Parts: sequence; structure tokens; C-alpha cells
Amino acid sequence: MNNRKHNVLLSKIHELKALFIFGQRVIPFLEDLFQFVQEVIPILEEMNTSIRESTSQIPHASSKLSDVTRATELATTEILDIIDFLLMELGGVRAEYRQMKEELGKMIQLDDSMARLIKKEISDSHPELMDKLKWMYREKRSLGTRLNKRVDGLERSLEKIHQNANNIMISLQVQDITAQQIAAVTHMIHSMENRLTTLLGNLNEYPLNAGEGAPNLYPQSFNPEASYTDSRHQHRVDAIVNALQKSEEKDTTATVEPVDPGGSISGHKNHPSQAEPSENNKTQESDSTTQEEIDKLFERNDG
Amino acid sequence: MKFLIIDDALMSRRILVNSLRKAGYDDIIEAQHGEEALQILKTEQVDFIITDWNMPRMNGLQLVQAIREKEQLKDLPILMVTGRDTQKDVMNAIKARVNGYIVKPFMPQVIRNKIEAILKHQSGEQDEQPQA
Repeated sequence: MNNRKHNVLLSKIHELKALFIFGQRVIPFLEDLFQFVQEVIPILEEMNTSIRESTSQIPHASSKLSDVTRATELATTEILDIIDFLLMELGGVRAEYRQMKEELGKMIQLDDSMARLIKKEISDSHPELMDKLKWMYREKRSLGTRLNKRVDGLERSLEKIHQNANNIMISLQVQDITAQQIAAVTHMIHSMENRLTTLLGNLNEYPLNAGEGAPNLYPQSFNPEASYTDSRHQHRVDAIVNALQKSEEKDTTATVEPVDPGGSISGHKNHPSQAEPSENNKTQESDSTTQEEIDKLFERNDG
Repeated sequence: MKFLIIDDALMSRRILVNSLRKAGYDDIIEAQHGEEALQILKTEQVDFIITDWNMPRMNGLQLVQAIREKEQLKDLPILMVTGRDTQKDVMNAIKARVNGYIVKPFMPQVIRNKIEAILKHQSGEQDEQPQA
């Protein structure tokens, strides 16, 4: 064995020694890591079980939400039935009152004619009787006036009741909006369920079936932005419709755009009636429109 | 005059039917979505359509487009009654050729006024057309 071979052997022994020293230093870390993994495994299993349980509860949650929609629909329909009945009855009562007022007017007219006739016939021959009749006539006239005022007051009250019943009917439309909001949440829950099911499918040999027992939801059947607002919004919408329709009438070459299932529409940007909202407006797309925005839109279209 | 109301929400249909009856229109048929409405239009002579936007199977905007593509139905008055009130929504509805747009919640008299305005506008247009 020559010197060169000795050196190589010594070098290898040094490397081996270094490896042992490194091993001695690493072993505690490896032991810690091993312990960590031992501790983490039950936690991961618990998480897995928890996700599995939560995922299995999702169809139940969305089913409960659908129950809420059905229950509110039923309740609002019942309220509407009552409002319908009230409005119908109210219509009858108002007609009665109108008739009553008309007849009261006729009665007063007849009294006046009768008073004139009596005055003509007996005022000279029976002055005392005439005085009594005059007093009775004044009393009756005063009674008639008071009665007339009461009928007017009752008619105004009936009008207010009618108006309030109409307002309740308007407010009941909130059910349609809340149904859409609930549908949007249900849809979101289903998306989460699908993702969690995929995750569990990757972690387990026995994946869950996503959407089991879930209500049938069409994404286009609800507006995720739905919100209940007062009916004054109509004025703003009318302004846009009028302005756009005038613009459409000027340009008879307008084309109908294809509509996507979600309800959005892709427009030709060079068409005057299909102008996209300005950059500023784009950021407020989900907000309700204002007259100022409409004016700006049409200023740009005119230019 | 025969009306066709299309809305998946029973409540909204009820309110629309009531509003129409109060306005003196009694000939009313109902559908729950666009597909059902198109089926009805194949067999029924309808004079006026009132439709919601968000509906299953076929939404209101798709329905309007489908109707406007049919030669015999292209002038049928269509009133959209919806909770969607953004500028973009209104513009899209106008582009699809709706004749009127009402935002929910609405007052019953708004429906009547809008129907009358649309009918008046349409009769005016017909008067302007040259006689054959």
C-alpha cells in the first residue's frame, strides 16, 4: 500500500467521522421531528374528521335555508291573501260611503225645497209655527253639515287605510329579494361544499358525494347583488330608459346582443346605445344609478 | 288584452296579477321561467308580456332576446319587472329591446302607468307607419 492509498483511506475515515459527528448532532432534531409528526397525526386526523363532518352538514344547512325561503314565501302569501281581502272589503265600504254621501246631499236638497215651500205657504198665516219650523230647519241643517263632515273624515281614514294596505303589499315584495339573497348564500355554500369534497377526496380513499340532497339551484335564478330599496329608485331607472330609448330611436341599425346564462351581455363598444360605463362608473357598477351618471354617459355618447 | 306574466316567485306573480286586475286587465296567464313562457307563446295569442329577470332555466333577458328573434313576436310589448337596478342592467335590458323597465319593489299604479305608456307609444308608432 503506497502513501497515496493511505491518504485516500485516511480521508475516507475523516469523512466517516464527520458523518458520525453530523449524525450525532442531527439525531436530536430528527427525534424532535419524529415526536412532532406523532403529535400532528392525530390533529390532522381530527381535522379530517371535522372537515368531513362539516361537509356532510352542508346539504342540511342549505336545505334549512331553502326551508326559510319556503316558509317566508308561504307567510307572505298568507299576508297577501289578508291584504287582498281587506282591500276588497275596503272597496265595498268606500263605495257605500260614497253612496251615503250622495244620499245625504239629496236629503239636504229635499229639506231646502221643503223649507222654501213651507215658507211660501204658511209664513204669513202661521208665524209661530214658522218660527218653530225655522229653528228645526236650522238644527237639521247643522246636523246634516256635521254628518257630512264626519262622512268626509271617515272617507279620508278609509283612503289612508287603503294606502297603507297598498304599502304593505309593496313591502311584501321584500320576500322576493330575500329569497334571492338566500339563494346566493346557498349557492356559495354549495361551492364551498364542492371544494371541501374535492379536498377530502384527495386526502381520503372514500370521498363524499358533493351536493347530495342539495336543492336544485340555477345561478341565473338569483341576483347576488339583490337588495331591498324603496320604490323611488324607479325615477332614476325611468331617466335611463327614456334617455336610452331616445338614443335607440335615433339609430335604427342597432343589433340585439347575445345574452349569457348569467344575465350579462357582451356589447359592441362602437354602438352609440351600447356605450360601456366610464372607468369611474365601472367601479360603482353594483351601485344604483344617478341622474348625473346618466347625463355624463349621454354627453360622452353625443360627443 | 291577454297578458303573460313570467316570474319564478309566486309572491311577485300574485302582486302583478292583482295590480293588473285592479287596472282592469283580467285575461292573464302565468309562467315560472323563460322556457315555459316560450312554450305558451307557441300556442297562445299574447298581447303583452311582463317578465322578471332572474329566473331558472331561461332568464328574462334571454327570453326577451328569443322573442325579438321571432318575426311574429318581435313587436310584442315587453315590460321587465326586476330587482336589478344598476345602470348596466338597465342598459342591457334596453339593448335586448324591452319596452319598459320597473324596479322592485313597485307601486301597483306604476305597473298600470307603464303599461298604458307602452301601449300608447306602440299605437303611436303604428299610426305613423304608412298604410299598405
